Amino acid sequence: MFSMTLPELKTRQQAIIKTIAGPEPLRQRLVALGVLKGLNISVAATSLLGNPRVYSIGKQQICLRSKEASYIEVELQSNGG
Amino acid sequence: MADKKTSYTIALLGNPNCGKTSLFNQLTGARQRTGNMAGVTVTSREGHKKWRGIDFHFIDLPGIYSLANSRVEERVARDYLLATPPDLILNVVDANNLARNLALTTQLLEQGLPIVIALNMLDELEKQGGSIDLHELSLGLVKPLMASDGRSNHHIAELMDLLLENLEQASEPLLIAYEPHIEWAINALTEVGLTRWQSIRWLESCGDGVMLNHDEQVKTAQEVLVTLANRHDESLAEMIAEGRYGYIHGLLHKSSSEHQDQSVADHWLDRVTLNRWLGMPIFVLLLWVMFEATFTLGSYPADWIDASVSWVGQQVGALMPASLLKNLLVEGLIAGVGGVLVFLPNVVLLFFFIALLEQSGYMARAAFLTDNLMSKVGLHGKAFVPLVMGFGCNVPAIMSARTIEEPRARLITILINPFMSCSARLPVYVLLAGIFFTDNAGTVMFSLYMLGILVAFTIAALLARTITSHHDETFIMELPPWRFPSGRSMALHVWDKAADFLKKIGGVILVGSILIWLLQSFPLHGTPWLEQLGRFVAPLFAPMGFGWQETVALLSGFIAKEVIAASLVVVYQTDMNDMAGLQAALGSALAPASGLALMVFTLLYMPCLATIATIRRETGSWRWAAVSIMMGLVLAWIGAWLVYNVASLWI
Repeated sequence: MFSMTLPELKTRQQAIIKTIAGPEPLRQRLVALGVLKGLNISVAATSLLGNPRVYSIGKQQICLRSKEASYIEVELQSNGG
Repeated sequence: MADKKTSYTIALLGNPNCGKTSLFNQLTGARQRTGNMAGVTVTSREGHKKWRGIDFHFIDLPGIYSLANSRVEERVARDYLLATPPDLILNVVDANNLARNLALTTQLLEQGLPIVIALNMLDELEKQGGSIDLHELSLGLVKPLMASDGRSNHHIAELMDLLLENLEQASEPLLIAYEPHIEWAINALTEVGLTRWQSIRWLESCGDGVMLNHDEQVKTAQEVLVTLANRHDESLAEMIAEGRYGYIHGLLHKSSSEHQDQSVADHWLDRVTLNRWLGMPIFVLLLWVMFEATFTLGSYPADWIDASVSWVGQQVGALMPASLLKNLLVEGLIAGVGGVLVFLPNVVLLFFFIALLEQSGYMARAAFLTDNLMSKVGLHGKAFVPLVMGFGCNVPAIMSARTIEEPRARLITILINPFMSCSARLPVYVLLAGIFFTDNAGTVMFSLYMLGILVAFTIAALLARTITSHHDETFIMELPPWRFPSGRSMALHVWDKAADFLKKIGGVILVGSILIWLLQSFPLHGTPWLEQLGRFVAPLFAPMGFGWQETVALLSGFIAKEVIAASLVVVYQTDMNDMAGLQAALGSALAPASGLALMVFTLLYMPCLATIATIRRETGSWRWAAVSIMMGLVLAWIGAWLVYNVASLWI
């Protein structure tokens, strides 16, 4: 399956979180919010200039800037049509 | 047991947006107060309830996701639990995101703290076809648990009884089996004297969450971190979270069926409000409606209050014999308090709309929409709303900056807020623009608002470069689900703010207006101190072409900006109702360029007393209040001087 960083994920594509890198406080923060390896993730909303974006993880919606999102590596599941 | 101790402390703890504060309001009613936790500015609220002869003292801790993170509010909660352990923790849990909410619960359980769990928003979950077996979940957690709802008070008696029964809860720490390397590390740490939960917290926070006692502990703990870092590319926080979620999923497997998608209505609302092209226009429209409604709807009760205050003033004036005391009462006390009271409807309405935005979940969405714009000046999306509210009144606007968690961003938002031209400055603009720029008064006023915004953003950009940030500034925010605000909770919230406004700000204004009155009235014969002061300070303002009258007006505007217009009336010795006379007097005394400079000075100079008191209260130090005053004065002087000199060339 095709791997990419989270900001590269397009609207309507489905992916699975593979790894979370980056500085320790960021990783701790993401973990505390329930952003964990193995969960399904997709783009829920994009702001006017494309950054930040809202991502759906299950029922949760998390808003991330590209800078933080680029530490998250995902594996593409489907193109969503 | 209960006959020995009659007063117990219960701390409410839970994730942000789990309905904790609504439940707190239901438990304590309106008998609550806002207080700062020692040394930090993240607020917690306290309230009391007497139940079956026992005094319950409730503390509403800030909403947190974890006890192991290094964010301010998390530190507050963690330190609170260690320094002054409450008798019982009421852990509020959102049924719609049970797994993540229980992650915090497991941290509490591992620490062996006495807890009762309140499961909120169960109705929302059931509406979407999910279900939770409360009995099974309670058995699994070995803790008392009941469904609760911050929107109605039917279950409060039951909840109070449950709390009462558990006041002397004996608790065994929860044991979660972690992955072998983590267990090895926990063993190494417990051997040097840490408890199991301390070891786990040390690992998941990478050494932040626990105080180590001696060198041996420090050495071992550091070695453990290095060893684990070499073995894994996953962070320790992730590995521990996996263990926790493993335990939680095992628990939920037996007790709950959860629907994995957003509800249709939520999905549709987000499709519209977060739409890439529609989102911004809708946001601006909503703000405009809020702004407009606050001031048009607020003006009716404001007029009534104004009329009542003058009626009381007239009655006192008619009934009391002429004396200094009467003057103090009528011109000092009643005029001063009335001047503040007039703004109560605006403040209440503004807070109503803010509560509506917050409780419905729109505030987080607005933060998302404006984040990019705000990032240009070192802030993030959450700072936008307080700035817009500043157009109404800086006092509630600065208070609303509490929604910003990052301390630096919050401080900057507070410090630039006075440059957003509040409604109290409007009378000055209307008066002066009407005299000096009759044909394009609207344009002049609009330019003043724009100048304020420009200055605010410039100062924000400068402050962002000078104030060091406490930790990496990241904008990671959870969008809460849409919720229909409850009437009771809204009413309590608005009442709370209104009472706050009346008590604290009213006190400051009261003292201030008496002071001005004294300066205006004494000595009884000869030049009043206020005029002496005006003439003494006037040379400072001479470069802008201001006389002692304008100087006095500006000085008195320190009390409240509306006073500037009133002071001009007094010092030019015209009747309050004789606007034409005042306009003629001002028009002949001031050059148009000076009039413009006076408006710019009014826009930029130091915040009013109420705002300064609020800055002091919200930042927790006089230092930032002083910075705000100095910054305003310097900018106002330079700005007015520039405007005066440039405008003198043109008009």
